[in-house]
Amino acid sequence: MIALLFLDGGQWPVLLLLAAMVACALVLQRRHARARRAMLGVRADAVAGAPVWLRTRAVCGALALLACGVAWLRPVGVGDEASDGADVALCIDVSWSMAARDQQPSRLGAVQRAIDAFVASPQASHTRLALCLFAGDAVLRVPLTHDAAALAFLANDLVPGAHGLGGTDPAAAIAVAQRALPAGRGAAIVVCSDGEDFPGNGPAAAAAAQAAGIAVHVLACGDEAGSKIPVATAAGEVFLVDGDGKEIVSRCERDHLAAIARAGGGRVVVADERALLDLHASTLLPAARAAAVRDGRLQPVALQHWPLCVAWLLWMLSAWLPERRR
Amino acid sequence: MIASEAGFTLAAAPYLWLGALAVVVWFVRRGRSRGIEFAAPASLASLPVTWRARCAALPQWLTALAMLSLLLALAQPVQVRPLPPTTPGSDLMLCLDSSSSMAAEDLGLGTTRFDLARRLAAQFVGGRHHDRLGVVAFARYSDLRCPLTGDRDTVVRILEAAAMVEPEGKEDATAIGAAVGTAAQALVRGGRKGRVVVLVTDGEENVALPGAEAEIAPLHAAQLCRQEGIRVHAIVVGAGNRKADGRTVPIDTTAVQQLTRATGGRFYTATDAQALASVYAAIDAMEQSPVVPAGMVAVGWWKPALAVGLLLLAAARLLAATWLRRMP
Repeated sequence: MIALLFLDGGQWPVLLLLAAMVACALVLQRRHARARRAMLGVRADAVAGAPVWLRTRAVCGALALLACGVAWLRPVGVGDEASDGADVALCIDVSWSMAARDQQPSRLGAVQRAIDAFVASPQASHTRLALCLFAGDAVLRVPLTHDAAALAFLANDLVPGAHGLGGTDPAAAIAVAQRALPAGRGAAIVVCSDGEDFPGNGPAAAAAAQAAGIAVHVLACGDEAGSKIPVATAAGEVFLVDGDGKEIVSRCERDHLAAIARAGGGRVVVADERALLDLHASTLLPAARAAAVRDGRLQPVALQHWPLCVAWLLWMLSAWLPERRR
Repeated sequence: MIASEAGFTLAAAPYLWLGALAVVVWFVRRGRSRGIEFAAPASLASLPVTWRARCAALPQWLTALAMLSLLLALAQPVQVRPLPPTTPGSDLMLCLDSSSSMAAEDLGLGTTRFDLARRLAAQFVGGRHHDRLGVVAFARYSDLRCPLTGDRDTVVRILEAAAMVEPEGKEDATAIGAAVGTAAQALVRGGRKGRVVVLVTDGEENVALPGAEAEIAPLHAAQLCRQEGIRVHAIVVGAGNRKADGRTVPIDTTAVQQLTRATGGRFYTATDAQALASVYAAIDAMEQSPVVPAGMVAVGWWKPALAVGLLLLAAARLLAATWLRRMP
């Protein structure tokens, strides 16, 4: 499948300029008709011939200008065989709340399944992945690598509560991931979390990443009904309790996750098995390819000759049509 | 494709054939009468010739030039420029022995073999600008600490964070074959042609011993590496290993030497810090990637041609409807 991209899509105001040209042409045509009537009187058509194909020629001219406008935006096609993939940093929340079982086998397990499904797909072959772990702080566990199998292996070794300080700080993870990614290459950060954010500055960090040209997407884990957090102890499995001895019920903070994604110019997807695959195909890869084409790292198939060809033929048709019939 | 000496080329020259259509249209239009029938045309000859009259045909000429520019834009004029040469780089895995014997301080500078080896490895990594690098730390088990990456800073950080296993613990052994096998697998997944393993150890294989069929012996790892075109350079650090009775016995490097020989790599020993540094420098010099020409890049010039065409067309229409308006 060939994806259609407009490399100079930001120059869309050119279309407005061309529309203004069409409007001017119509006004001038009417003025010309009025002047003609004023000069030749009511017998103008009998003397000089009746205008014919007026509307057709106007439509042809307008369409030709529109086609030129489309060509100006530089349409290109990028095939699936393109070798440049996306650069993606996965920020996985490994705080205790990710042990909750409101998703099967657990919130973290759902993320691991999504990673496994992605790595097993052909889509992973050109993708560079990095792995960042976070709880109360964040660490870059795997730098950007083509070795998705090794990353999946290391991701599958993760268990909730295994890393760093207690708490959940997605902003720290986004900052660490941002440093691991090259700027301006259409790179993306995918935060895999249930949305707990103790410092509450996740959206601000996502906005900073977005300002640096890195989009922040979210894989939302858990559901809003919530679940207790099982913890394995020597005495068997118990549920995590707070300072008052009450069992903690952790819920997916979808609103906060949506705020992070919004600030980061990304999307929120539910962390199921196909989540990463779908996000990659629909968003991450097109963004990366557009950036690669803009940087000249990827040579796309130029398609501007199609609208130009249409414009040429329309102008030829317009010129060929007779202007008057006596 | 039509090319000029200045590097300009028409990437889609066949579109110029559409120009034939313009010629046909011109002939058709020429045959049509556009004026008003006038009884005494000779009397018009005496009228004064103004600039307006002289420029009467300008809109048609501008329109023709606009169509020519559009045709040129369709033919995709491009300027072909050579790109600067590049270095493709290699994939390089560092296998660092983290068994407790690496705690010996016999290389000088008052530091352990392990600390010196990883510090110098970090320096080595810092100089490999074009390569992808990875780290395997090994003792009884091999651990892929860092898959192949171009992020040298993180590789250095991972090397700095590496630690030796607990002395006399479950993991305190030396599985050279398994470590090289893990590194080789990572290199194969990397998919590049230039693949190198740098093995830094002070010991002898003591896991894949005869009878331990589930383990990977150094020679089996060598076969895998040779099959995949991976060179293994080995650096054996330290003068010898101290036994329980206090004697220092030389390291048996036979298996490691066979491993390097079988894969086309080099074998080094380093008995002090300076020697270790020069070994890293020698490997660095030996594993330089060649500089290769990067090819050409085509810069499109069709947009200026289109812009000129549209401007000429706008000018032609504007003139034809105002200053150079013709009747009927």
